[in-house]
Amino acid sequence: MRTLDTRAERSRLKYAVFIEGGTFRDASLPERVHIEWRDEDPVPDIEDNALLEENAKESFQTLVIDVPSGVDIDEPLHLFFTPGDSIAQRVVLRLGENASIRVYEFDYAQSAVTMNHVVKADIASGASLHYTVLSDYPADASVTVHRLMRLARAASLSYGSAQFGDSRAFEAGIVHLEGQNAYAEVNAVGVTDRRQEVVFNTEIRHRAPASEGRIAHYGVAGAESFLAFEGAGAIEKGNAGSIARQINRGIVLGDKARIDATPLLYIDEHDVEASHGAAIGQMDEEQLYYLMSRGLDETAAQRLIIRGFLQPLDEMLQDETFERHIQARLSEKIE
Amino acid sequence: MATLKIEDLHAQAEGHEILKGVNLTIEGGESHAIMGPNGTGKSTLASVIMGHPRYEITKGRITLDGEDVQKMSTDERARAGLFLAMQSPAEVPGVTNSDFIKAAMNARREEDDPISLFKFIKQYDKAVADLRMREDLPHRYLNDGFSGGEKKRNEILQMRMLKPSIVILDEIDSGLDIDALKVVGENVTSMKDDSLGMLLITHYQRILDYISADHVHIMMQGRIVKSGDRELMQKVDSHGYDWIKEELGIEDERVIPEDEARTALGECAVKESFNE
Repeated sequence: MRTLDTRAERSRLKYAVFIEGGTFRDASLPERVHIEWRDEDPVPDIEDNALLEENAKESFQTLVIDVPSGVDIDEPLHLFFTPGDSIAQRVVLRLGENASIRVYEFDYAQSAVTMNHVVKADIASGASLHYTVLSDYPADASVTVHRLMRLARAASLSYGSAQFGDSRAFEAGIVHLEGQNAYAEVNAVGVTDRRQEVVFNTEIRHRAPASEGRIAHYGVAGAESFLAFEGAGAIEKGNAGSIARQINRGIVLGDKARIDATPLLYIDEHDVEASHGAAIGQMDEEQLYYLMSRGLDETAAQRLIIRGFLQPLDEMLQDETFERHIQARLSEKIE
Repeated sequence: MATLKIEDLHAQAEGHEILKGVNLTIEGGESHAIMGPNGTGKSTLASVIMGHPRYEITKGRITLDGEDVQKMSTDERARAGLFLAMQSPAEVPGVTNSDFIKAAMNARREEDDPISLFKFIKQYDKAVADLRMREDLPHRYLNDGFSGGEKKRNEILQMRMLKPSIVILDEIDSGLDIDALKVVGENVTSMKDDSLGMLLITHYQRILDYISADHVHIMMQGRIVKSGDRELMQKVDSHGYDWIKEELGIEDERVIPEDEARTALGECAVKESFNE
C-alpha cells in the first residue's frame, strides 16, 4: 500500500491536482478555479507557534487555490500531496462569497520524511467548504500538520481528517468562527498500531454570536500505540446564542495501547449551549461474543465492530479513492 | 445427523457455581424444551454451550458429534453447527444487518468462494418477508434501536440464513406479543426436519403452543431434575412448579440470587406493527 496509481486516479477523477516534492506534476481544475504558486502567503495565520513560524520560513512558496464568489463546483476536487525529502508545505484555499466546493486531500509518502504541512482555508460569507483529508505516511516519517480555517458570516465548514498511516503525527485543526451564524464541524479519526503516537489537537473558537461548532474525535489504538484527543471549544465574550459541542470515543485494543482524551470548554458568555464528553474503553465483550457466536473468527469480528465504530468515516468512504485506501489500511492495521 | 451431548456439566461464573451436573442429549430431528422458574440456570446452560467468556466449565463435558466442544472457540462452535438465539443479543451500531449476516455466511465458505450477492439478497429478502420484518432491515444497524420483538425475529432470521444443525432458543418468547409469537413459531416450525436438533429454553409454557417439543425437562438448582413428554409440560402449565419441588424435596430451586437474575427476566411484550 501507500502507493498511488496517479495515472488511474487522473483518468478517473474529473478535477485533480498532483503535487510532488513541492511542485506541480499535473492539474485538472474546474474552469473557474484558479491555482498558483505565490511568493507571499496572502492570508495571515490565525495561530502563532514555533512550528508555524518554521513552516513560514522554510516553505519556499505558497500554493493558493481560489474559488471565486458564487462559484459552485459540483464534482469534488482531489489534491494529492507527496513530498520529496524533508519538506515544509503551505497551501491556502480561498472561497469567495457563496462559493461552494468539496475538496479531498490525500497526503502520502513512500519513504521517511519530516513533514511540516500547513493548510489554511479562508471561507467568505455564505460559502461552504467540505474538506476531507486522508493521511498515510510510513513508520519512519514524522508529520506535523496545521490546518487553520477561518469562517465569515453564515459560512459553513465540514472538515474531516483520517490518520491512517504508521508515522508519528501531530495534527492541529484550528477553526475560527468570525461571522455570525458560521457553522463548523470537525471529525477526526485515528487508527494507530505498533509504537505509533498520534495527537489530534482541535480547537473551535467562537468569535461571533450564534456560531456553532462541533468536534468529534474517534480512534482505535492497538499494540503499544498512543492516541491523544485534545479538543477545545472556546466561546468568547459577547457571542451569545453560540453552540459548542464535543465528543471523544475510542477503543483500546490490548493492555499496552493508550488513548487520552482531554475535552475542554472555555466559555465566557452566558447565553450559550455547550457540552463535551469522552468514552474510551476496551472493545465490548458482548459484541465480540455475539459476532463470534455466528461463526466470525475473532479478527473478523473485531474488524467488523471497529468498522462500525468508525462511522464518521462513512462520509470519507463516499469517495472511491479514499474508500479503497481506507479499507486496505484497516485490514493491515487491525490484525 | 448431529448429536449434542452434555454430561455431568458443572460451570461457574466469578467463582459462583451455577450448573451443578447437567445431563442432556439432543439428537438431530429431536425437539427438547427446558422449563423452570427464573434463576435456576437455564440461560447459563445455553451460554456455556456457546462459550460465553463469562462462564467456566469446572467439570463434565459437552460434545458435538463426539468432538469436545470445550476445546473449540465460540466461532468454531458456530461453524460446527451450533446456533444460539439469544435472549438479549448485543447491539452493534455501525454494522448493518446485511453486512453482518453476509460475513457470517461467508465465514462458513472458502475464502475464494463467497456467496453470490444475488443469491444472498434473494434468500435474505425471503426471510425478511416471512418474518414480517421491516423492508429496510438490511440497512439498519445490527439490533441497534430494535424493539425486543424485532431483536428476537432477527435472531430467527439469522438462524434461517445460517442453517445450523443444533439450535438453542433462549427465551425466544420474551418480549413478543401474540402476533409476533405466531410469526416466530411458524418460522421456527418450518425449519424443523429430520436433521435439525432443537432446544427451547423457556419459563412459560405458551411458546410450546407454537413450537412443539417432544421432550420436556425441568431445571432446578442448576441441573435437570425431571424429564418427560408433553404431559409433563401440561402439568407444569396447570399446576406450576411447586409440586415438583415437593416431590423432590427442593426448598429453594434457585442457583442465581434474585437481584442478579432480574436482568434475565426479559422484556415486556410490546404490540408491534408488522410489515404487511
